[in-house]
Amino acid sequence: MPGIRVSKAGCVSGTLLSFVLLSAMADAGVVVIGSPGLDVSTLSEKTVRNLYLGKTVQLDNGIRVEVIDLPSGNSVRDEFYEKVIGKDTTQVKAYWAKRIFTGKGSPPDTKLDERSVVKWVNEAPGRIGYVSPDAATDSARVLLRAD
Amino acid sequence: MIKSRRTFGVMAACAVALMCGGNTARALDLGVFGDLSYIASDVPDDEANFRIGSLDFYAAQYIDDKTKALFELQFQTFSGDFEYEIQRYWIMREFSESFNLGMGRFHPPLGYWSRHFHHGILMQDTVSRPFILSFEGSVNAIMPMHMIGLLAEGAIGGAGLHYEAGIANSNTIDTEAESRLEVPNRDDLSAGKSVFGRLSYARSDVPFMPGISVMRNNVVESSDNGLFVERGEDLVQQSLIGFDLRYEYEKFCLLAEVYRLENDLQPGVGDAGSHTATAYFAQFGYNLTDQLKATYRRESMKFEDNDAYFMDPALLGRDALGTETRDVFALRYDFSESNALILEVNRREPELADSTTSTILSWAFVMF
Repeated sequence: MPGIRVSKAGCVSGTLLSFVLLSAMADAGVVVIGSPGLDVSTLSEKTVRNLYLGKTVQLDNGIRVEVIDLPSGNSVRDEFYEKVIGKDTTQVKAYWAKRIFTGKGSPPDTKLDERSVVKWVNEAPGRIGYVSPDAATDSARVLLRAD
Repeated sequence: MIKSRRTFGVMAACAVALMCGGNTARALDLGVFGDLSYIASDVPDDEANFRIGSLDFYAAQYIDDKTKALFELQFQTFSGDFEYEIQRYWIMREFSESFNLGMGRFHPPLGYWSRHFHHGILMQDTVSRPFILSFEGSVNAIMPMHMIGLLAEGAIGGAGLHYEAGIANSNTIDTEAESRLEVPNRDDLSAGKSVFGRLSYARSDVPFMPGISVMRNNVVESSDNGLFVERGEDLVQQSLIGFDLRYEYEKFCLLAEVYRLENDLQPGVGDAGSHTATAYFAQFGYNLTDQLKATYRRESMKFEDNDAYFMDPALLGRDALGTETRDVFALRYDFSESNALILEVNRREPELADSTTSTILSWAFVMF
């Protein structure tokens, strides 16, 4: 009966390759994208942070915007909050618990996956979302990169 | 009668305004705030003790794309047994940036503290609230901290001005039971209603957040055997004006509120006529590190000796205390977003009683 033979060295190098690939995928960076008609070319990390923490609903130029989130447990979301917002998942949950309790707002609405985020952002003006660089299609305007 | 017609008019206008569409519900947010403490004081026979603080459950949700609702149920223990009370319970419809309308039980917009920290010690830099903002049922509760009625709020223009205005049930005192100030959840024995409002200014790029609050409130007798007036009649007609200021700059922050309260004691109630009281607190905070913050607060309540609202045992019952000042010092250490240790030293100096000092170590947290 024919079988597949894998040498010890092959097994080790395969595992290493998988590890390197997974690490690269887990840390692929995040891009913040905006609606096609949005009258800005870039966004600062501070502005994005204030928008996603509910501290403002406006850009520096006074334009009102809506933001969208990915669901809890999504690896792109974890990376976005860690790199751009500066909080881990637990910190974000505790932060919003306090905001909700004190009536200062509620967390951004969520879309199921990155494709839905891109679609939602492109559908109307004044919308901002984030996805991994690979998910940002040509139609998406990249306003901030966090590598 | 005229007051009743006006109230009906306001209610009818609100009912019409509420008849608009909306259908997208969002996730239900649930959480629990709690605090556990160790307390020591120099009050004779008052032994140091560990104490279970309040346990506060809340639920909030956008039940459609423009309507949100919240309730907050608090368990707390005063003398051994747990007591529970619905502290907040409201629904609010967002019509536009400049007009949101809510109904229910809420904290009235008097000053900054009540509407920003509510019942959560985790949100405060000290364990205690300023005593002039004490909740109903206490000798320190000089004005209502909960209201049952309507609340409108919104932005005025786009420059950072914000208004809150409401109408609610009047407050009561059962003079026979010496019940102190109470909030009736479903009755209003008075034909008049409490009206109140706040105008504030806040912008993310400006460190100052000033506000001005006003209130007109009737305190009504709720006992069939009232000591001064008949059930349903006014004991006191209150007018209040307050100013508040929050200032944040780098590691420093200031929060201050000052109130002028005019009590018009009705005929038959003590030395009837108008009496004036003032109350304030000023709190200074400094972030020593990202996790450690030091805070000092000065508090004061002053009123006229012949103001029966404060001094009669059947009303607020401060006859054994008189006016009062307090100094509060606190150190807060944040372990994370979700829990913090606060050490507070609190010195009370009532005019007619001995000064006392209490030390409280509280561990406040949120579960979500």
